[in-house]
Amino acid sequence: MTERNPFDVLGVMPGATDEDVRRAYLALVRKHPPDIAPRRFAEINEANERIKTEQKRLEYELFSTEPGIERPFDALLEQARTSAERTPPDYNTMMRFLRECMNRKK
Amino acid sequence: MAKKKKKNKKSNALPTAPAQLEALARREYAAGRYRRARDAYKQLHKRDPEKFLPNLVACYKSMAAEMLEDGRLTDAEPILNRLRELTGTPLDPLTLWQPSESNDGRNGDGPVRTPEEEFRRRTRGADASVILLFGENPSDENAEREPALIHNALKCICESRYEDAMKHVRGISAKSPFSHWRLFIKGLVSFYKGNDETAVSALTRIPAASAPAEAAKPFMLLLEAASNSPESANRDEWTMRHAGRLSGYAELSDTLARADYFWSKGRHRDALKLVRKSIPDYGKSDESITARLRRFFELSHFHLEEKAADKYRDVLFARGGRDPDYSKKEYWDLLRILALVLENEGDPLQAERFWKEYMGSLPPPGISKERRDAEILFHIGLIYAEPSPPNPFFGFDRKKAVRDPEKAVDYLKKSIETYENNPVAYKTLLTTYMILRWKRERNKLLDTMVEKFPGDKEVLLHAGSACIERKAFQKGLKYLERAVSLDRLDTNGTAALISGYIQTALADAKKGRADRMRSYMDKAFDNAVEGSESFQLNAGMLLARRAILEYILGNEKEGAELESRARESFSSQAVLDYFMYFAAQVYAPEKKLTPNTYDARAFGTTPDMKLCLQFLAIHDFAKRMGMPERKMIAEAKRINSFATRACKAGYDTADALKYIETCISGEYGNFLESTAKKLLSGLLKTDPKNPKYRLLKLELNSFSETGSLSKVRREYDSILKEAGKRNDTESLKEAQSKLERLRELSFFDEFSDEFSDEFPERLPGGLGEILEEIKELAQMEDPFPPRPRKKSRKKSRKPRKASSKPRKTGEQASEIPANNPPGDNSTQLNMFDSDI
Repeated sequence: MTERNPFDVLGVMPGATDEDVRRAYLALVRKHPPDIAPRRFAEINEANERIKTEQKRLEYELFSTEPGIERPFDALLEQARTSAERTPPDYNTMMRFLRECMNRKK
Repeated sequence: MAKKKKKNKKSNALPTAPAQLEALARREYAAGRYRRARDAYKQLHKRDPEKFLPNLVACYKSMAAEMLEDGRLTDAEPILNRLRELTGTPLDPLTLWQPSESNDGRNGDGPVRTPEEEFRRRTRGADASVILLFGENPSDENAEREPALIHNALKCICESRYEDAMKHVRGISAKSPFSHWRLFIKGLVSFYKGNDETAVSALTRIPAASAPAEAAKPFMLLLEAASNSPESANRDEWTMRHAGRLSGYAELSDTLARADYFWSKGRHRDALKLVRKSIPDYGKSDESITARLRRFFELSHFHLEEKAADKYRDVLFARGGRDPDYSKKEYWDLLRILALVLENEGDPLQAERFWKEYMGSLPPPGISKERRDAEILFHIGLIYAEPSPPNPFFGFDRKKAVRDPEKAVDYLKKSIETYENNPVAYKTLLTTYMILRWKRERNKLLDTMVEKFPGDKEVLLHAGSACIERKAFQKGLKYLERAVSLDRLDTNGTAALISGYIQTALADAKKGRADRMRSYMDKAFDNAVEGSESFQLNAGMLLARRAILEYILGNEKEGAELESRARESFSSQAVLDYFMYFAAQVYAPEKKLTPNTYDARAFGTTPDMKLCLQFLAIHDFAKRMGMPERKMIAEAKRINSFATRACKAGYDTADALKYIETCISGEYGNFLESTAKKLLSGLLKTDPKNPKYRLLKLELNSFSETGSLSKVRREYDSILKEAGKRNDTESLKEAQSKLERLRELSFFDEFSDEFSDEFPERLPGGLGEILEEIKELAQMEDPFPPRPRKKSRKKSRKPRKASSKPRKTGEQASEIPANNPPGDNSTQLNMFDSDI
């Protein structure tokens, strides 16, 4: 499985500073402690190790061959996951969607 | 044909007699053929509307229910409209599934259903009630009804009024046929508010046969992505499309869902073409989502099979330079990717050219151009500083420790000049100097580094050890003490400091300065660790060393006293004897401090495999102390013969394996081989199919026997199977990697046959054309030196390894302090540990 983009894991932007990365890392570690979410914790730690300094961030951006996501649609899923706010669709879209669900159910 | 049609028509025709017609209608209805029953009742209704209206209504209801159950909402709508015309009131779809109380040939005559089927029908009815209400404005009279409440809650969600949405559905009880809609609303509210756990819990409780369960799928995909397990979520195209729409990315969702489908089917190029064509910002914007996509499409070929990657690159790089709309951003990105591809292809010279070209681009956000350029220069330096790959034409293991010393040093220096605050670049340059054994340059660089990074522990350790090496003891100790004070838990630092103290004490002892020697040894002792496995840190070993220093000074009594104190801390005296045997020779070779007594005592004890391993560890340490090689060979032979005797006395499997592995490591040439083979044959007798033992046997044999390649390959295949059966992942991995190595060997066999001096017609992966294009664009001169044709290579190359072999980072590179000369392939030495 492809390793996730460490910027996405920590929820920081590519132009983030050491302090930004550290703050995001600590917040996530508090939210996902190792005894409750060991896999997630390991992923957060790994991501932090990979981009915690400017040197490492540059290395990742310039020389890493990791695509960060496994499939094209993951770009959208990552975006939805990391964006601060989730926007609901308008009423008509929701209506059409539910009608499709009804039609789809066999 | 016409005749046949007529016959069919005749058989479908309804009887005209009312009694017959009514009987037929009842029969068809009972059999669940509602359309035929409806046709019959329609005729009867025309003749007697009052009598047959309920039957006709029942038929329409059953038809509508059936359609809704099948999800044919659009088909059901005209039927429901017809029902409204017949009854004069709008029909609540939920009533379609209410069991009939009468038994007069209406609903009650329908097929008998199980409770599960009834539940399913009821759920579907509730779903139809809610969904059909959309498009109609709920009137005041039905505003309090449950479908209307759900409808209003959904409206609130769409307007981001989440609390209001929950208020609407609060009144729907758990027993209501609409209770699953309440769960759906709760799930949606939690999702949009970011309470993922609550959302998952609510959405997973929705009964599977309902429309909300279907509607929950895209949300679950988004939620499971959030919980990092997207692999378990439903990823069909429909779900993906809606996941995008419902999370606010409607404009991208269709394209990405389609591209994802292409990708999953191995149509990588189609996926890229679609994205490039359908997302106008793809090559231009740095928006997170497009940047993420670009990174994916630009780098994923490193993880594809060779053939697929080559084809994909033809499309990836195809637009370079020709297309007027070709985005500059994508162009620069591709230049960088091209450099990485060439690096990966083992062509540093061309990679270097493209990296230099890429330095004309803008740096990433938040990074200065100097910093970025310095990093690229450092990267190029690192490529040249790495060991050169083995040359297939001159034997596999003949490789240089540094690929190109001049270029490596030049680029690393340029990197430092461009951005002088990067300690990793300094450390890598230092490492390179150490590998090259350019001591003068190394010392000069260390002086600069100490000034530049006075708080860097690693720099201080390097500088201190280098000073001690050139006998600048006071300066060296100052650096080492400072380094240790920065991190007292780092045992490597402490070991380096102890080593510094010992060497200073030794120098004083040789000059007859007993007090100074003792004072330094006391300081060393202050840092020692009781019972440590490290020969540098072990307190007992330090006492033994100090004893030898006292002997050097001629203080036999003090020395003997210290030696006896040292012996108290060792359960096996042989270990200490063997250690002192070496220490005496290293410290004062000219004095002949009875070393023969020590070794006679050491080897005079009862042979034991554990002791053999300890002897090997001391042997290894002594080698690093600087004992002459010839002497060490003789010692290896002695240990081997001691081990042969130990072998007869019996041994632990773990000890035997360790001994065999030490032999295979090659540190001792083949001087341990005879005993290792005996041990291994003993192990194989106990478990002949054991994959680990068999792997070791193949390794051991490679020292002295060369079997046929195909035979060896068959044996690895068999080991692979056995390891799989036993779930022995370690052996499985090792066998796989060995097999891969064998494949490389066979590739070089073919390669050497077809090698010619002709120039390449085409670089792999369509890079030739791309290079041409970029060359034109950049108005470069021909950057390609002649290269051997790679015809046969394309056939037999293994899948690219880029994914599994990450780039060696600067920090990793700087962690290889070594004293080996270029071309020396033996174990690289840690400079902190290179003395006693």
